[in-house]
Amino acid sequence: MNDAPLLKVQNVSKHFQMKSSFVDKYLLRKQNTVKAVSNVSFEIKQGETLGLIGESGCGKSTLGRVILRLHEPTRGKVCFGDEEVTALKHNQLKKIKRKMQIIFQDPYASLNPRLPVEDIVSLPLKIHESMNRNEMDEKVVDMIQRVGLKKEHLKRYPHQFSGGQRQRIGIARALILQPEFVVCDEPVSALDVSIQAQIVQLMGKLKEELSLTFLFISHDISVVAYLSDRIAVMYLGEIVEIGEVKEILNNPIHPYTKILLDAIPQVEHVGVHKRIVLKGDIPSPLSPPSGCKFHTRCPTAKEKCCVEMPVLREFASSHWVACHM
Amino acid sequence: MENNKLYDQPPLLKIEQLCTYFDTHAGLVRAVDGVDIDLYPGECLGVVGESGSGKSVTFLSVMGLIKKPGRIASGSIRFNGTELTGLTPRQYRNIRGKEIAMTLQDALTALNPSIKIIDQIAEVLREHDREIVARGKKAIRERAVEMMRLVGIPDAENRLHDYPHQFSGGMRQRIMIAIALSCKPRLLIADEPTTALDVTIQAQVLNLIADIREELQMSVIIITHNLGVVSEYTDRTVVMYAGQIVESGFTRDVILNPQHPYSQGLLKSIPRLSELDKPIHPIPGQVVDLIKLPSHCRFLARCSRRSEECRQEIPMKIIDDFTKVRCPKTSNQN
Repeated sequence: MNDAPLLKVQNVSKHFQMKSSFVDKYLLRKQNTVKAVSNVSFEIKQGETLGLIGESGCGKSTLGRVILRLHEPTRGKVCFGDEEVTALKHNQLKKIKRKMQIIFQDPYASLNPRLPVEDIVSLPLKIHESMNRNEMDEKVVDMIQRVGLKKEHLKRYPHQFSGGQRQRIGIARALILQPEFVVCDEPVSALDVSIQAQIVQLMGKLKEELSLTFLFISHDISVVAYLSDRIAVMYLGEIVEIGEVKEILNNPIHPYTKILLDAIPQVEHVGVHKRIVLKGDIPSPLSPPSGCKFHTRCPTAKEKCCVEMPVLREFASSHWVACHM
Repeated sequence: MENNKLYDQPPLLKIEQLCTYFDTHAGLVRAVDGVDIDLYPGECLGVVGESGSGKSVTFLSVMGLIKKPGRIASGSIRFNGTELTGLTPRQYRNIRGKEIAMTLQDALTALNPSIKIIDQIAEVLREHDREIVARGKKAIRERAVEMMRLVGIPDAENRLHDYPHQFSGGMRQRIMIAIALSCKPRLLIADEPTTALDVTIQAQVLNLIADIREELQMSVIIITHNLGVVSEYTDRTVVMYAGQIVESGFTRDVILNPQHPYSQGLLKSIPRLSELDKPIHPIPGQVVDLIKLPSHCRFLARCSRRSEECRQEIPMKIIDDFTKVRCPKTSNQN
């Protein structure tokens, strides 16, 4: 692992403006804003896997997409190597996008049903590389075999494959350009248990073989912990805790991380299910709570937490927590 | 957990050699193929398996909800002494919803989007609870509020007239549970109650089911693919593969000392937080095609312990009263 950060995310925010209706405009109502990601900063080193966990709606997928500029950030910047991704224009952006790819969550929705696998996997090559048909075929065959499919599969269409196989096709498409950095957005959530394990193992193997750097987004904490070097915990658009996997699992500091980890049913706990149960749902990002956003559900919230927003502080070496405790 | 008194009584639900088939254009799909399950009063049973293993279809058969092209081809389902398979639709309605209730997997599509929550809860009461209907609208409403409070919906009185889309995923799952429980059934079947939910909400819903089970003294069946859920919340476990039960026993035994290669494979394929350094071992290959089921062991192609003796129909091997394994390779003691 190289020490220089490959990816730097600095104070990134992403707000979505809600559409206001005619009536809203007439009554001069304020336009609603969803603060999906607010003021997030972190770095990922070359060859590292950063796991991003949190409940649905906490902004983890949005963050992944902002990094790839599939969404334009509202504020902040993203740097990849020496280049500032968020400042690049068309051609330069295209150049850098070949080094940054994404694997999507839903293997049913992310593949074009009208194209054979061959075309799906070779499309990135057609866009980014000028190579002749033979070279291209060779590359596609090599990649499809790397992800555990066969050459014969190339002529088939997505509907002829199972969920696990489709996800393999999605992985092949993301890796065909030999990117340096891949955002994995819940790549195994839609799959069955035994198939999930196959894909997790495949991703671990490909990461080693192709020396990739991953941002691994998932709500399945065991899978994230298994594949990652460090973990970042998100709540309502903010990172509340970030650190090495072992450190986070054995010594979680933020009350939300503690509750999240405690909530995972574990195979070892036969017949035991006593746990701190978090009350209520995640608040709406349309009107997030003041101060610490977790204070409405936090078992140890004090007065200060309702008013003042905590910032990330280093509690132990490279273990950062945003909490007033 | 192995409360032996529980097992002295006759089973509440007894499924014997149940076969549920679907006639499709591609051929006969044997979704459930000879399933035996006993469920005792007050017990919590976990049913584990991947998609296509027949776990949902087994219990949809119990509920009498198999529609064409599906049919219950053979076998018997006895609930509290009554045979369910031959019942007329009218007779079935006296049991379904009243004695046995089921919550379906996807809470968003299972609720009617155009009917207010109160009316969806009241519908079950109107159908099954004559006493409360006699007491009038106000009584029904009070009971509905009581059910919503029981499942922990905050501010229940003011949310009665809301529609399903106004609730979050976890809340919708609670509403389904409230509907299922409103006639105080003796058996609750929860089909993947938490699959679509976040872990924190999953914990809320599962603890809720566990608490209510104690309060109402009901039997619960949890259908899931999450082995952690089975391990923490159930007394006994049934593992299904390609329409058959491959292993059943007390949860403690199935989880800590699985006998069938499929159960062993499943347990080895999930990463565990306590042992992250240990590599996971996925089960190779895919589930067999239910139309072209082999005559030999259905797990054969993916099994690491296969040999010549597996190339025949494998009977269920009875190890003791509660432990059964469908594999010739298992030793009785381990």
